[in-house]
Amino acid sequence: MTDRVEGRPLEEAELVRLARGGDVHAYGELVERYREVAFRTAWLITRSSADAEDAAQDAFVKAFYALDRFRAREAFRPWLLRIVANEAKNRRRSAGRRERLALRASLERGPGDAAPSPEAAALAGAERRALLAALERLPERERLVVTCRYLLELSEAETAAALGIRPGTAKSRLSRGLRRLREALGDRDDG
Amino acid sequence: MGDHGMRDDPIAAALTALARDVAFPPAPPLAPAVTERLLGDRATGRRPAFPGLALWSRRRLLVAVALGLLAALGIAAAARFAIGAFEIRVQPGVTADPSLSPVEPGDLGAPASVREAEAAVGFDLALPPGDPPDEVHVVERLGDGPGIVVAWGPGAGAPALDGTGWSLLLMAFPGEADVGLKTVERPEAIRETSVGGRRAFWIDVPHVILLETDDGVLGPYRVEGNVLIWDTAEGITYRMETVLPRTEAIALAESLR
Repeated sequence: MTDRVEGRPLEEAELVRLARGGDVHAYGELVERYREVAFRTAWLITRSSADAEDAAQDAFVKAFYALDRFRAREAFRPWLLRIVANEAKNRRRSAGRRERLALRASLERGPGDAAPSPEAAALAGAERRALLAALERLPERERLVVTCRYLLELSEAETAAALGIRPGTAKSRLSRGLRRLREALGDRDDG
Repeated sequence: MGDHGMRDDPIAAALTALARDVAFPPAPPLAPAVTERLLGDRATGRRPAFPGLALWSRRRLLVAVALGLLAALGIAAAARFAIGAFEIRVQPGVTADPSLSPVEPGDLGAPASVREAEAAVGFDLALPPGDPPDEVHVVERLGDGPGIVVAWGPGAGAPALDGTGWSLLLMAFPGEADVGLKTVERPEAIRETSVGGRRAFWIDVPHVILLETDDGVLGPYRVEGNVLIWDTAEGITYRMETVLPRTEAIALAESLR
């Protein structure tokens, strides 16, 4: 049973401490907090909702049993996302050449969907499609860094930790990825 | 360029705008399923109640027990199966589950030519005489620098390793920072031998391998082939996976130039 003050959400560090002590329900609160970013990370790698769900669920279970390796001074989210990303890569590898959803498909709107944000509305549809197509053509290593950094809105440090690469490597892949996108869209404008 | 330096970049700004509008599939409610699995593990005793005695600690405990057992059996000299960048652990109860995937060279790193790979890793790759490899990949890794994995497809007299499209896999890593952790169930599965007068290990039973690269810990993978691991005077550890029996594998290893 989790020991907590009525009505006040527990701090992440406290939830981790309780989970390390075997409190599965405290861990469930951590899962709830990070399920969305975990699922999205897995989805960006697998491009399959079913595989992403399985990968995220397995990763949360593995992370629970690996909590003794988590150092309390570190941030929990990037540590967790690294496990998620590894699990998703394993899933994708097992899935082989099965067809994967493209990012642009996820942007198609149904009649009942919410209106785009003002920022997105400012990005014209054709530009958006061109940007997504260019993003999809990036080498995978660069695409993962760019999508984690911008589509998941992780910091560079979190992106590096989540993908298990050095911060300098994340920085250089991000820089290369942005340069390729710039060139791809520039070529398109020129053409 | 840091987090703030991207603000003036129009591409970065466009991606930031795009992030607000990407319609990811809805995240499923994972917490109930995860807690149910954890409670189920606890109820059936499949996993410890406390993560403090979880996978990593249990692995250490098992290794300690295995080492103690080996010492008691008078084979302590073989208790630490470490060679260069690879370590082999005996973990009773850890079996090579048939559902695990084999190592796929293309997942380990970027493709390259042999010459490009050698330039990237900073050492000359020793290769067997005959056909050049069909695939070459540079494996980035923390620690003692990148390594190379090369693979040959099946050919006459060289059938594919079970579950793979390769007849021969060769890995080369510099230094002693662990890149590969192999796990076998029984100590007698590991045989000490030599390649060119240097210490080597031979494993000819299915086992499990984890690889730590710049992309994180990859695996576990199931290894079906016969494996020979040795190091060179230059500090490069080689790992060969082949269908060949031991004497032929050693001869092939000694032919590398």
